[in-house]
Amino acid sequence: MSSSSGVSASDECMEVFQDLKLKKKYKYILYKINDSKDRTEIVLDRAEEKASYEEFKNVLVGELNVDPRYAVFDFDYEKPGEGQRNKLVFFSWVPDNARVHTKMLYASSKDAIRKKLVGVGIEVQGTDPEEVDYSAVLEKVLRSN
Amino acid sequence: MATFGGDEVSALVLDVGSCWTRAGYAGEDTPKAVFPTSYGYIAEAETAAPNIDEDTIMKNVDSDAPKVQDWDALEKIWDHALDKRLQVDPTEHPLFVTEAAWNTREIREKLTEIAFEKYRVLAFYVAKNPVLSAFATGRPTAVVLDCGHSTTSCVPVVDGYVLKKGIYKQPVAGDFLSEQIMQQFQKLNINVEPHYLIAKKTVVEADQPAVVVYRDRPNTTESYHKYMQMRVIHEFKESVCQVFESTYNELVIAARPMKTFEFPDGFNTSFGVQRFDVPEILFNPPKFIMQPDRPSFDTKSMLGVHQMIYNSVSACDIDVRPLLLNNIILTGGTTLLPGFADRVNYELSMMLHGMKIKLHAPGNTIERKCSSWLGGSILASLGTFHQLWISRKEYEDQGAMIVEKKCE
Repeated sequence: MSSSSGVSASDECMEVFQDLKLKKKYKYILYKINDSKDRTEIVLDRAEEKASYEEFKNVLVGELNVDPRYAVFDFDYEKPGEGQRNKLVFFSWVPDNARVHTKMLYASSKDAIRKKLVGVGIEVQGTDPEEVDYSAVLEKVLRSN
Repeated sequence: MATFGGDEVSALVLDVGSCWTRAGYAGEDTPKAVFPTSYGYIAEAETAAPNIDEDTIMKNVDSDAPKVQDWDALEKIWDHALDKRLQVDPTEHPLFVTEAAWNTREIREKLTEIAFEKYRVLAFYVAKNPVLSAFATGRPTAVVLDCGHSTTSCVPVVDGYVLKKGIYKQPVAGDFLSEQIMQQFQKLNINVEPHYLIAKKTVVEADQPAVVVYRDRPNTTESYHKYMQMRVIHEFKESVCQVFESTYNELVIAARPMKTFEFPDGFNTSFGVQRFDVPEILFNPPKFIMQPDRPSFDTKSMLGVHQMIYNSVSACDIDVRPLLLNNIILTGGTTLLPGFADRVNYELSMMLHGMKIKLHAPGNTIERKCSSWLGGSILASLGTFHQLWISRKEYEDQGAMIVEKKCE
């Protein structure tokens, strides 16, 4: 079964993810549940070729206001003593001040997209801006190996 | 396969809690009907009475862990919800019910069987309360502390699934606190006379004996009397009781303002330290429980709610623990006691130095009291949910065992 809600992810979601993962074509991808009346599918919202983490975060916590999103960010970091590293980080961004209806929809549909993104190393569940701070994500990334 | 949901037929959502039953239509923000999970019956006939009255025997349906003898009672609650309250024909609707996280396979199959055989519903689904509560706050992963009427439970949910090994539950919740308040009143020589017995009361000064004319109600059953007494205590609990926000300290608490409560007979008095004592049971049961008149109640084995959360999280994989501690959800009416969330936060910070702890307690009372109903209402109304229902045909082909396969 795709997810607890029955929502599934479109093929395009995976294609864009492959371009990010293998061709490094994008820095981050945002996914959303389509706005059509029946909200049946997770679709691509946007894919950015160049962006800093701060810019990405500002889109999530600022520009989108209270809209939830799923996201993948190609996260570069330095591991002390071991040099440059890179990890694909998945975000389930469902802000606490979103409407309960959208919170339920996004939380119960996360598996549909998450399970299809093979190669993601870290998963972040964000409900307030602090949880998607650069330092919080870096800490998580460093803790994993 | 037949499709349900969308605009065609709205599904019915039923959440039978140990104190309140919530019933309504999928897609709505609040349940259409909320009524006590209790019913009255007349002794000779043993049938449910049309009206709950002094001569009816009150029975509470233990919905958290239905045993065989409670099934009839549970069906009566369903009857009342569907027939009397929502006034719907269940054969025309899909039915979504919520359940305790620890329900056994037998109970789930029995629920499925009743839904299809007795109510002949179009389709059926059963989902676990803590999963619905977690989703309703936007969190696929969370630990859900549910402190309601008969049971306090702590359940870790990871990616939308209950981790069974982390379930902790105990019968110390709102109802138990009410019983303890009753004992506290006995010690203080306060007699709780419920509203139905009072014909006329007079305003009296604080701490003066009540001046009251009683109604004569000779045929009242003991259980009805107790049920009505508990209502008074419930009101007391909601308006007077409070949880102290850090370690219990009688000297500090004594300096807090007192709160006055007027009983139905007009007697009124103020409560100081006492109004903190009973809620303290939730955090320090062995020390604060007065010997309950419940057989086989083992006071010593009861845990503080913060300890339950700690144990529950500790039972999970070490990688997921920080995420769980950062997503603790409080639900259930008893968590609305003033100071409850602050105290949980305080106790956990003391136990887990340096760990990040974050509680999520919806400020909206409806969301706190009905979070699982609300979650079910939203889920069952989604256009995509139709693939998940157990259809009548699937039930007929595979029998009740299909519930384990479809409702994970």
